[in-house]
Amino acid sequence: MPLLDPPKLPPPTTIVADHNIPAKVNRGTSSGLPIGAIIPRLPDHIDLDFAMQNAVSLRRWNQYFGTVYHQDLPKSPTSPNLEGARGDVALDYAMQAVVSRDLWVRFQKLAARTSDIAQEQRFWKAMGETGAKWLIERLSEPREMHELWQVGEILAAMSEQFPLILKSLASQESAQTTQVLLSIVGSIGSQFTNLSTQVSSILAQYLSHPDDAVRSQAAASVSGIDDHSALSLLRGALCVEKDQDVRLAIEAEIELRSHN
Amino acid sequence: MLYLRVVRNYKKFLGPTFELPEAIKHLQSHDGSPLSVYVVSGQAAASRIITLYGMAFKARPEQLDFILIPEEVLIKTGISTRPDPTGFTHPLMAQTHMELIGLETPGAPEMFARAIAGANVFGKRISKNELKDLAQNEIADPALKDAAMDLIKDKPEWSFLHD
Repeated sequence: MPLLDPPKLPPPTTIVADHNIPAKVNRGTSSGLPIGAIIPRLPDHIDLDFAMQNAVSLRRWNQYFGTVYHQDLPKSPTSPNLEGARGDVALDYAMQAVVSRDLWVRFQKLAARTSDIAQEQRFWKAMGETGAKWLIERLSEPREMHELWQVGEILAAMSEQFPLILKSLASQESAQTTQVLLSIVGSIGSQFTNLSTQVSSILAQYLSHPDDAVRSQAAASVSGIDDHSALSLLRGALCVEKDQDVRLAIEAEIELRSHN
Repeated sequence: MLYLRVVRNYKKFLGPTFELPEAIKHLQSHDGSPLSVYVVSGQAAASRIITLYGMAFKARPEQLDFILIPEEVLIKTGISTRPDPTGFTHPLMAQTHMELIGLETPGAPEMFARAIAGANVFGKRISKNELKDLAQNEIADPALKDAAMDLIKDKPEWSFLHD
């Protein structure tokens, strides 16, 4: 748990500790350091499990946010009456606001293996459907590819959100988002045999997508369905595919399954 | 000198299949962060870097697209490089990892994208099977094996490399 990362930023601001602050943070203040120096970037430094268990109030999250970003938490357009919120509700909202600022820094750290992917996965699982939707929206932004794959890896670990991922794929306009989501389908789709018809239908849809990189990815993602269905889809796609890269991807998947 | 950039679809950057909006999107600086490239001497060195990159950043072997941008394109467009100060990559790639400086100004990504499309730029999609083979070659070198295996620790879908 990177609770006490080197206090490089931002300008420290003293906050009077109270019982609403997570215990590990309070232990920091007992050392005499201002809290702003101890938790300069919230998502890395908060003990999320503790915060959820101990019903930290939105007022307290707001104070943290003000310390780090020098402004209030953004108001929720959909839930204006969060003033007295505590626990999960407050955490969900506050974390979204905070993480929207820090997500890519966090994923850079994941890529560099200087932060813990298990902790990151726990956090996003706790964020539930709201978190998954938010992550999927981020995938269409201009970003480095390795950052997008980190988001994909987190989403793949949120297996309970797989139906949401399929729903998003079914009507997806961004080729970039589609590629990451198809990769997730290839990674965890086989766990959802009850959704195999839907998965097959989506893969068929993307095997005829205008973008060749998406078609290649769709070919590789047949690992998300059974071999019989996969072979049927792949052979159909190969009959009409003209792009050499995509043909190679399809042929490789056919060969893999022909030996099974 | 060539600069390797990992992209979503290499064909969007090359002359006949060039697509300006996609190329610009992928050459935009976001949040003020410089773009990431790897400096390589040729296609063999590029294969090695893309392999290590795949091992480092992909949860499982999958296709990877990249382009190799000649140094002349950077000179022509006034884009410069500097060593990555954040050191976010694995030590095996750190010496080659650079940041592109100069894409923050309005119009610069478009100018850079057009210069790439008009130059002799090499692009390729490494397939899943190619990446697996390249990774196996990488760990066959006893001097590099431990460091290369470190890239895929805790990644079950790369476990074939342990065999």
